[in-house]
Amino acid sequence: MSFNSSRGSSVVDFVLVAPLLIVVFVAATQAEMFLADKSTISSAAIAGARDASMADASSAQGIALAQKILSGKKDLSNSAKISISREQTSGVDFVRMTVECEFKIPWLDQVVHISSTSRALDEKAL
Amino acid sequence: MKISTDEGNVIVEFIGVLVALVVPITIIASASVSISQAYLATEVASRAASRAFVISNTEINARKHAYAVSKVAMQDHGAFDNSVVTKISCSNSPCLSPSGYVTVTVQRQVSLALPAPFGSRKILVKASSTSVVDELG
Repeated sequence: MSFNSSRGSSVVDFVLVAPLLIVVFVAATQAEMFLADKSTISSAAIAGARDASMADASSAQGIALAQKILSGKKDLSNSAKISISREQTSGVDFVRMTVECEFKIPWLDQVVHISSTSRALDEKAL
Repeated sequence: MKISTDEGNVIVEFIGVLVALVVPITIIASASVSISQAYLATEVASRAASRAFVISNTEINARKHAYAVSKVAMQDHGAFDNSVVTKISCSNSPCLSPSGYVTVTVQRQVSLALPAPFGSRKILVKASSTSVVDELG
């Protein structure tokens, strides 16, 4: 009986490496999902603030638009907290919209909070 | 001495290859994210600034609003620093002449975190937006 045979070693190699490969793949997928969610939240904040700042629009319209953009992703829309306020920066009036959501990482049982803020010129104050 | 052997720890080999592949990929991905974030910020800032300009009642206010809006939009995207430049150009004089075009260009230099042999590379990211002054003024 020979113990120096390399027969079957590739299967053992694969079994050893597969868990590491799976971890790398899952981490990359999760990072991509995080970036996609972050992008959606930014879009919602930008569009919502812009809509609410129009001369003939109300804050409720801006919030409704942000919610509509988030509604494409159920996890985000269920956990979304949208706030809107008015402020003055460098003597100019702005509408500020902040969108906060939760991003869940199931395999780590963790929740990461993502938020995005956008300001638009308050056209009602012009 | 036998040199041509397959012996070795597969996990060590795998980690060696992974590091050799993952490090450059991470650097490239990070540079690409920085550039796309800066582009999004300049795009949003130029569009908001050009609209702010054309809806203002006087040219002094228009410039004040456009610069303020551009700065705020860049700050909101975490992309405001000393390299941000906002330029305003008009097709007619005065700028707020009815049916005139106002173009706002926002640019920013993005520093890429490349390793020493590549030097500190900087890329200029620029976006322009044009709005029309309302005919009714």
